[in-house]
Amino acid sequence: MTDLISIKRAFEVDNARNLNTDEVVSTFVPSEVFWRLLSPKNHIVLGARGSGKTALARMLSHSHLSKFDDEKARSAIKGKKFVGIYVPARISWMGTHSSRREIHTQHDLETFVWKLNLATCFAFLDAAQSCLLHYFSHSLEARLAAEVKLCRRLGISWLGDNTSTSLHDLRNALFDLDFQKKIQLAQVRIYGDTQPIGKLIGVHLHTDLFEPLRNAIEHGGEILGLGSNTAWLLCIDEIEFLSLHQHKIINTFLREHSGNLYFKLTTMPYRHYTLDTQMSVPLSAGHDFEYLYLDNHEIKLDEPTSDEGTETLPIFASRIFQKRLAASGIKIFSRKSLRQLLGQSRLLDSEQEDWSEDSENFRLLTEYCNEATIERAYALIRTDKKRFRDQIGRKVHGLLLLKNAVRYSSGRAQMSVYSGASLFARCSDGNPRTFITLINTLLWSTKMFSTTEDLLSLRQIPPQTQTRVLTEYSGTFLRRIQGEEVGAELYQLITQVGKYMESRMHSEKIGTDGVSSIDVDLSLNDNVSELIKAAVGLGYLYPSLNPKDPNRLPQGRATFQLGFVLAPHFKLFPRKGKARDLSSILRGEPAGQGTLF
Amino acid sequence: MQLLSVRTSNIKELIDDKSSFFDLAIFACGYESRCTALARVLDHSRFSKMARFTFKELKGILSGEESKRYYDEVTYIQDFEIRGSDDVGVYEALRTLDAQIDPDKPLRVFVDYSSMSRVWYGAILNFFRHSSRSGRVELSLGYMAGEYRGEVRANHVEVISAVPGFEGIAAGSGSSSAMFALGFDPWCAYAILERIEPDQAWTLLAERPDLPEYLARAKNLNRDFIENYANTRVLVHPTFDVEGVFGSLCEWVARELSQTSDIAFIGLGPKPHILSMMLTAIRFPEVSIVQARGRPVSPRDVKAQGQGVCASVTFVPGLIQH
Repeated sequence: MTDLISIKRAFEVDNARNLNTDEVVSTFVPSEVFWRLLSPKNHIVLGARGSGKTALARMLSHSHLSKFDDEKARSAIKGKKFVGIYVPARISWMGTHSSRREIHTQHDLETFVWKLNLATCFAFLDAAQSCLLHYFSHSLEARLAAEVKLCRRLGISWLGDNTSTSLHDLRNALFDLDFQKKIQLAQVRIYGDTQPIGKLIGVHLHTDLFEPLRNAIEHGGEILGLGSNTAWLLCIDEIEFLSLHQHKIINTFLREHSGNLYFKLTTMPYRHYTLDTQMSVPLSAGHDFEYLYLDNHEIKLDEPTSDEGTETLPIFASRIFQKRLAASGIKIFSRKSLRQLLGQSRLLDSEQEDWSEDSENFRLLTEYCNEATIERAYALIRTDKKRFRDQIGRKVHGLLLLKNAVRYSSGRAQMSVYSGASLFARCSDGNPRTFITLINTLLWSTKMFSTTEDLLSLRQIPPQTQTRVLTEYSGTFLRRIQGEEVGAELYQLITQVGKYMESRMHSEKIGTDGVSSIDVDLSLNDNVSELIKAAVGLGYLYPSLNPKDPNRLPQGRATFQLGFVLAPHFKLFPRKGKARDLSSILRGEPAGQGTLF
Repeated sequence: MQLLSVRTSNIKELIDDKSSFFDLAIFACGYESRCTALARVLDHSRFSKMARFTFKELKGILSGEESKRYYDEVTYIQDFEIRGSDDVGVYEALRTLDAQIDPDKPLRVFVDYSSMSRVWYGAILNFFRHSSRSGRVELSLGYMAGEYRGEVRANHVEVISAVPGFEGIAAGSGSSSAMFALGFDPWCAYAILERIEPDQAWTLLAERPDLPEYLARAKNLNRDFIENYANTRVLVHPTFDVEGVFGSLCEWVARELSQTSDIAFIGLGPKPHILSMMLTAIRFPEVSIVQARGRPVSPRDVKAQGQGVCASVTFVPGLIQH
């Protein structure tokens, strides 16, 4: 039974913050973005929900990086090149997960600075503990001496006393300070100016933002034996929950020279609200910091092996799958592949299909394709079979199978086309959380894996079951949007777009590309633009990126792909296709000629 | 003040106990006809002072006018107009009322929180928790269940914030847990889960022995959330069991604190469960109470359904809970 729990638990947790240190490290699949983050530069990581921002931020922290079994990571730790400090988003220091519009009083902002200072102090202690364990492993005596010395110095800097002699003591002292502060803030709120406030609690943290952390870095660098070349990476997760004004405060520190302290901030796309700082000069992207955008269907991974293929989404999904299995602690699973569990995809994987003129494929082509495509198909198949395959056969095969399956299905439960490892990878949009949730749902919802023996065999899940689970998930993913800010409008918008694409796909004769994207002008800054930006942040739409600058989100007229995760719900083919102007879809205009994506 | 005890009794006992007197009674005046239900059945001579908190932003809609007329006829009632999200307004009103009562005597306060916003009853708890009175304070918090008919409309979450006074403590970057008291709006739960991203999510559901379909409906609406996003061990407690839920949550928090440094409560279920969450957060400073704010769905006139509960919460002077 333990095995059963272990294997299921491997996919139960879909959020990096849900995992302990060892689990995060052992299940982490590094991409090129991660190695770029491990550098002495300021970065702002943009990614939709579930795209792995938190995993990246956590993995940069010293406690995680020092456990990562990778040559580059080992070299960074051994060479004392980086010390990462991870500050998670917590309502306890953010107070409000606010919108950009939140207005703050001076008192609110002072409290915010105080609490963020405190949060960075707590985070520094985690990093210091990891450094002590790692760099003083040779001598317990030296480690204890360093810990005592560091804690006395930090105690004076942060609390005004030197009584703390261990990290544990210091943590408790900070906890007490936070509690006392909480009481004082509550009393100020309750009694206003009708009662004297008394002595200000935590006065040493009522200083410039990050000043207590800089002090700690100063002392830590010396006591922990780190050189002046060590870069301290402060990873603040999910700054989308801060307001525009709070972004301005933090931006100021990206603009200033911060010595050996570098900032790694994560937020959702379009949720770095401003480039303004508290100085007269705004931030300059590319100069003061770099954006790194995660939601790219072309994820750059470490060297793929020859048996992994070339398409990045399946490789990424497969690596996550295998790492999770390996982390379940049962060695036999590490040899299982995603392909063994889900099989091939009929829609995406078929290569050597029969395209002779009397074949079933050709019959479907003549039944479902428009006249121009049929005419071109006949012309090519009789003159140049290779060109026919490249320009028509390969492109329409999946579309035809899907159209036919939808036409003859008596209900979604009977369909089987949304199945296969590559299709699951594609419908996850490269979003680790979506992928893990899908695999977890598959494992729990099928009755195939009710015993340890079932799991050990890890038999292939029937395509019908896969289709049912994926389609249900797809529908739930769409409906969930309703609880979000502007949820009702967003739900309506995405539904209207999806229905339009569904209608184009299944009510009309098709060409070699379906409509799968929309064209929108974000520079209009209207309500629709805001909805589109929100949809990108939530992973319902994916912008078409400039290949020369794939980390820059579009701000003007741009094309947005409907998330592949929604394809099963709208019975669409999960592939980039043509784009259609959003305004004409919303006006309900008849389908016109789409622009090629 | 220290939180000494939490007791639950049937609302009928409170109504029938004519020998029980209060120094102060506080009612809400809003658009739900439920807001006058307890005031109509309680003998006003049992209250030395009466106050009504009127929702400033929702005056006069639905049953608002009728409720106002009812309270206007109650002699000696003191009126305070406060926005539903304004805790400072509640503190100002309570300071005014508290100043009228002998600070050295034990205090008994009745609060009908059936139609109050959670910011209001959270502020009332906070006010007395931080009170400098020299005697004990006993709050009797009355609740009348409402009749909800028709489809539940989804709330749109714009801002996630802590209920004022229940912010928790930023105790480091360790793991975090969240307890969702679920109701009939599953989409709101997803939206909050996505934003606070707790390390572990747990769920609490309410059951109504008098309404057998109540629990089944909540389970059905939240099935996907429970099965795919939360620990599958669901806590189920009767809606009216404030004391039982409080005890259960205290045990859960004590257990979680051995492995997490940050605990959030998200109250999307019935008010008595949210009250229990607040009382637990008073006992454990690490706990924050998370609320979602957004564009309100159109209000509906909730009528009292007849069943209710009274939770007696006693604070005694001493050190503040730590």
